[in-house]
Amino acid sequence: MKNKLKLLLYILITVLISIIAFVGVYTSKTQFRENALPDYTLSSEFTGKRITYLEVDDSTNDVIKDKDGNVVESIPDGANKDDYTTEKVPVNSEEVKTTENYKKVKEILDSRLEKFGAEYYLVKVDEQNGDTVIELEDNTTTDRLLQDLVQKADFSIVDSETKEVLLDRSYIENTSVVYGNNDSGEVVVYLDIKFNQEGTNKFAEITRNYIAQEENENQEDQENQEEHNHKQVSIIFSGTTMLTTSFEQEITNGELTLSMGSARDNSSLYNYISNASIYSVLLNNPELPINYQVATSEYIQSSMNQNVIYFIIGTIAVICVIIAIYLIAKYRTNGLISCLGLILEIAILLILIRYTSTIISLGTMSAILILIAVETYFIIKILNNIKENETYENVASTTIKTYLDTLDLIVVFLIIAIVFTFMKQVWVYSIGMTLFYGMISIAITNLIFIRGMLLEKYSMKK
Amino acid sequence: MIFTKGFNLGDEYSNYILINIYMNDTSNLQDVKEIADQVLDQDFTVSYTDEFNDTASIRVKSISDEQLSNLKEKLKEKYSFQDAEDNIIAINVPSTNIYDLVRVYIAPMIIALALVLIYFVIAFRKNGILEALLMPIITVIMVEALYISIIAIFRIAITQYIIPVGVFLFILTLLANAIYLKSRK
Repeated sequence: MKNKLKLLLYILITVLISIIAFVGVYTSKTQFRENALPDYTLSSEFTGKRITYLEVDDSTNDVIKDKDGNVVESIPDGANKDDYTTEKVPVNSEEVKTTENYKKVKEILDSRLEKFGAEYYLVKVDEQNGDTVIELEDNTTTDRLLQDLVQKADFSIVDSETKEVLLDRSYIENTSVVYGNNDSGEVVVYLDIKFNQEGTNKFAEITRNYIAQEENENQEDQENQEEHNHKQVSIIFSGTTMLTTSFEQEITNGELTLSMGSARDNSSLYNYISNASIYSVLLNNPELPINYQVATSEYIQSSMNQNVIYFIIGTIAVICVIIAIYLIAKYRTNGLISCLGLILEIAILLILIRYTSTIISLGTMSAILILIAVETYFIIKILNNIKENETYENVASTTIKTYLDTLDLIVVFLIIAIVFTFMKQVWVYSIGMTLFYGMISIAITNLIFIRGMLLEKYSMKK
Repeated sequence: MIFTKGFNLGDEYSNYILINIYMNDTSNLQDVKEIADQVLDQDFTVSYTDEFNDTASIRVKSISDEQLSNLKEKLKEKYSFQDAEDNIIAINVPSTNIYDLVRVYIAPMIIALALVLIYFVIAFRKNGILEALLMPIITVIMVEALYISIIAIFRIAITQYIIPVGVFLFILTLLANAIYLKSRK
């Protein structure tokens, strides 16, 4: 009687968990009845993607030259306008619009997106005209990502007055984000730009020539100093002046350390670190050989409609039904108990997927099919062993022996799950996470429920 | 077949034209569909591009300049656009390079295969190193090659399902190897 009740309890728990997983738990906290379980997180395959269209910039810039042919920013007030000429210079010259450069653009964008940590991206370049389409996940970071992605990322240190380029990005060896503390005890985020050997020498020369002189009492020195104090460099990144400064002393170690901001709170620090990391990624990758402009950037709904999702779920259900029919036909009551176990395994997995916000992609579906196959293998192996020795003691020992016997399969399974989980791309890690949580649900189902139900059944015979 | 004709890219990955229609108000997809039906002479899909349902998107394999200007004219008339050029933007989406779809899976598959092989060599050393090492490599390569060959020979369209199925076969082959090697231990 006690065993019967226990068996019934197992069945009830299985049914209850299955109802929670497949139907949900509806509460009426608000005026609407809502499922208390978290929603599934669907990948862009099922929802939609941000499709951004970049076109080669065909615009022109006005370049003003004085009568000596020097480029100036603007015509000074009161100057004779006839002494200046304005030329329309294309942002992209015809020479840069080559197939080779278009291919290079794709490589650079791919590399930047990978380094930015984009979970899903696809870059498509028309090698005839350079027009580029980028597919991304649509979320709160997408706009910022796009804004940083299309930066040309040219870098130069120029004389702030003459605009003479003193050093450009070809001298950069690498960049990194470093941290320090200031006198107020705040954490300071720095972008550390390390120059190559030639760049180190050039940078040392620049810092020597642009030192901010301390005030001198000597009249003659003061005149020289005034001239010196006005000499400053501008650090230009992607056409924007980041900083105009002079140096306190000569820098000979070939490192330019730029402060990106200081803060005590995590949120501000995170922003500074993100900004510094973006600069670092852009400077560690080549600059875009062509200037692009964003023509459109729209969220496009997935072409995979509801029917396709129902078809996939239906297919998985049909496979489960076929397995269930086979198990019940061959193993009778034991087969029925195992079928409950199979349903419970999927139910636990679905609950875990919801609570861990595991992203559901098409890969997840294939992972679920693998889990069903593995669980079926476990069940058949156990039931084959039990059939011959139908005593309580034998059932208890053979189930454990069977699980130990499948240890190699579990290890291989876990290796694959862990490797896939630690990948950056959403479609890959979603498979890994599903396999991992699937393994947990298989363990719970087999060790607690299927084994428990079988033991209760055979203890009734005892 | 792969080297001569290549793969048959499905609609999702082949070149297509995307026409975004920026409405001034919430649009009715059926209206857009009817107008597109009058102009386009091939299959197309119409969907919303945002949650506010004020931007519709027509996706079609190709469109001639004449059809596009005709479409713009009809949409301009229907939705009283001041300037169709501002409200209707057609973009040419180039075809996808298959390598771009596959490459994210290459590293995890190679790492997983390498780690599993190390485990097989340690766990099934009694079976002989050659069997523990070569058997999984050969079967994985054969299964994947067979799968790719079937796709190429039967001109099966490359869709979003193709790669997950390939990964499914890869994992299943490794698990099957574990069972086989265990049975031979």
